Amino acid sequence: MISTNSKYLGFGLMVFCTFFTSIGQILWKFGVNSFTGSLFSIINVPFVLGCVAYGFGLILLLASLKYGELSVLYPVIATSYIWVSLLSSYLFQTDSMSLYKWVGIGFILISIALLGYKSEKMGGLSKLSGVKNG
Amino acid sequence: MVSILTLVLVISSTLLGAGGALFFKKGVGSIRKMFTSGYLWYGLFLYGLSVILYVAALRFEELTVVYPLVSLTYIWTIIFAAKYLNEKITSTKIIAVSGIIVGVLFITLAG
Repeated sequence: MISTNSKYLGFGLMVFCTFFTSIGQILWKFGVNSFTGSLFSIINVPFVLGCVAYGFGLILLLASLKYGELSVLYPVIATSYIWVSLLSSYLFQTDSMSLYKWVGIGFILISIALLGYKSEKMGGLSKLSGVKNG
Repeated sequence: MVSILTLVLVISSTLLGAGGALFFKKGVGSIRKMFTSGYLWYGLFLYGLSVILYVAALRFEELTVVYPLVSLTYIWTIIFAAKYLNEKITSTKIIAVSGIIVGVLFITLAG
């Protein structure tokens, strides 16, 4: 039986994962901007750092999946939309926050909170001990 | 309008991504088990294919069109998890994923 604490560990690790994959995407964006056309320009500092961030995100994803149902934890990946819109509006002159973006962030946050809150109440997590063995 | 080619590319990409997630879930366990069971590698392979198709789709279509479609992955994941992992499809999961898709549409269409 997985405790409530483990459930939040799964959620926490997944949110952490999306933070790193979002950083990775933004670093790739910087990396792409410094492409000059030659094959070697693909290997630049932001691009490589982006790969490292992505790899770290993948490890956190795998760690997270140990602590809950796939169908509950996977949608948490949508938090990456929040990180990307917040970080890119901060970093890039062309991107800015708007009312629509905040409404979208609200929808995603409420949906993820609902998943976390209800998954415990509806007994969705009671089968976890079985999933862990199998 | 979104071309049929883009739709086929993105939908295939999301199906492969959800398949990759399914293998990741099947593969998690002890570190030793993860690297020997093969599931992790199948997962990485499907994920890689998924990314390639996604990037290909981006060549034909704007990010604001492709990005919301990526949310289809959440729907496939719930269906795959029900079919292959015996996870229940609950009304909460359906409402939450619908809410996420609405949120993604707001963020991407805001531009």
